[in-house]
Amino acid sequence: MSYCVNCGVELQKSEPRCPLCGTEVLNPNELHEEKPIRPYPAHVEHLDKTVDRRYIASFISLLLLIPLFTTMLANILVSKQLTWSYLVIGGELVAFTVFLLPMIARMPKVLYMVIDTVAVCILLLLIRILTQSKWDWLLLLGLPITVLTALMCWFFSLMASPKCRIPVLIRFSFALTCVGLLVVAIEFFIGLYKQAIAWPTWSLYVLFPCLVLSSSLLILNRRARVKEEIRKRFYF
Amino acid sequence: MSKNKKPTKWMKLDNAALIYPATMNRTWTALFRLSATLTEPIDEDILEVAQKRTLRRLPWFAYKLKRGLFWFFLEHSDDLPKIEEDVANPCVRMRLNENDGFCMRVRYYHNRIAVEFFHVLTDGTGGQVFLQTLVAEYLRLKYGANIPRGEKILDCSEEPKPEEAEDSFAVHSGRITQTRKEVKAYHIKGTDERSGFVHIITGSMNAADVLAKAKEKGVSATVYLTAALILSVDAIQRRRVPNIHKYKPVKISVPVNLRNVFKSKTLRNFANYINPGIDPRLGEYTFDEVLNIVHHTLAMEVTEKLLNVKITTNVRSEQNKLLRLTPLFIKNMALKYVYSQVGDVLSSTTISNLGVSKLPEEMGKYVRRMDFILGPLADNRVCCAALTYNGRLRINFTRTIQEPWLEREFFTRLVKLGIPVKIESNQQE
Repeated sequence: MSYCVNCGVELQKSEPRCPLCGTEVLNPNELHEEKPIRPYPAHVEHLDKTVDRRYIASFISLLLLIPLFTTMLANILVSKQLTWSYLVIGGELVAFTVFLLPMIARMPKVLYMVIDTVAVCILLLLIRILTQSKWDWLLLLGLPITVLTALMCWFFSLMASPKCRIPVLIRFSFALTCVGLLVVAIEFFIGLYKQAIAWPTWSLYVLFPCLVLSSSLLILNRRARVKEEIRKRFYF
Repeated sequence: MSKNKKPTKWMKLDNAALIYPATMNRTWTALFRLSATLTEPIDEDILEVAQKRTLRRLPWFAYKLKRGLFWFFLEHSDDLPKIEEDVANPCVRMRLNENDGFCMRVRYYHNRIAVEFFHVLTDGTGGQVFLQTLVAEYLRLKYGANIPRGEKILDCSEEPKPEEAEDSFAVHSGRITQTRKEVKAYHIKGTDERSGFVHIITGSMNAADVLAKAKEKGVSATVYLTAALILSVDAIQRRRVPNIHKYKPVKISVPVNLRNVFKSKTLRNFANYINPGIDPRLGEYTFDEVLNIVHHTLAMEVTEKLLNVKITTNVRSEQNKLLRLTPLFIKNMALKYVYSQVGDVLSSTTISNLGVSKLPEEMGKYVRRMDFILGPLADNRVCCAALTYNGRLRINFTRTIQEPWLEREFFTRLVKLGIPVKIESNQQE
């Protein structure tokens, strides 16, 4: 048996040096003894290189600044003021808040939906500034549709509530109906903007398939096996 | 559901398991490993049959981790995990796609059978039941050994029992919750292993020696080892942090088997953690002082009432409306954040002592040694696990930095305390 002269611990015969301090083991009495089996095999399982998503997202954010500043500079040089580059600013803002922010910032996650909505509203506002159009398309069309979409997301989350006693398939049926109704509402706001409110036409092409799918889900709800599969995949 | 239809075999993750899939990444999975070293080399074919029979009795270990829209879930598979040859760096991350989606893997090397478990399936106690049943089945098939079956070594001819898959956290949660907020602890930092190599250093000693020393001080072996570990981490901090005002508390996470406190037969996770420790800013501590602190902290916190409050806090978080409503990819980010605030960060390292593993004589004569290894932790770069078998207490340190400071400090401390230690490792030649 060998001891580490540094640490005072006994070392297994398989240890070529003390694992605690690296001191080589040399026992003159055991020089010619056969090497014992190592406690672990020699084959090492290697790890793939890591991908730091936060770092990559920060890097992409920095890269986004290049087209931003380039377009702003070009815009100022050509037009002596910021005009069309507003679109790039707004577009990059939305892309950043939707795709990159969740990877970079650690904040209460519920804020993401609100921030995304605000970013889209800012983009719309920038478009209005650029086009120097009247406020009516923004107020009657852009903002209502954005807010309605955000509200629909909120409705979806209500449907997903654990307190919600409604069976899952029926909840999805409601959600599909909701999508159909949103499209009808969009047509309504377009009509309002054009000051020509009429009976819905093209939105019915969306509404009816949604209603058909929604009814199918209600029928599927009566099939126990399908319900079980869906419950498994979507449980919350 | 009509009567002749087989129910879909899937289950929700238990309360403790929820955090692990969320925090896993390409290089890290929360794993632990239990192994048994036999007297003769392992026969792979027999081991495969033994695994098949064991998984028929314990189907809870043949579940694959699947991604739902709101939570991960476990789905049973009739396939079998492949038996693999062991590697030099045990408990290196488990990539589920490489492992056919299974959350455990059986590996062998010479005389040793090792099972590595992803923590979503089970804890150390459940893992021990699986390993012992697997080894008993292997011995029965290879040598015709007639091993008596009981609660720890299950009879593979019996049907699985539903109570073994119970989420006991949900069953034993109460009403009162408490904050998880604790002061953050000191962490040992070192040089990263470039290849992601996991170092294992095993210190084995006579269990009787440790128990005698512990009894001398009127404490248990776990308390004795925890106190020695606290002082070891403390010594490292004092050496590496020059400014006394920058010292952080040294706390050790000690897992508590809740089956000893609450009535449960589950083989899934059912453990909680206590973090006894010291505040080095207050001055140097003697060994007796630390023993006293650890002993009384454990005595105070390992009570049915206080553990119930801890369980309830975790179960309530799971039931949180907002969290349940959140889609999985966002929930994962939230859980990662929570883990970064109340996970490893609260302790300097972990010591998980599974206690004494006793095998019936008919089985014991074939089993030379048993080991318990914790996989690397998320934030803490060194951790350790202990298991006593056949009179030998083996403490396995797992490390993902190059420097073996803690192991050296801890084992030389034990030697100074009068406990002879024998060391082996997975170091490369």
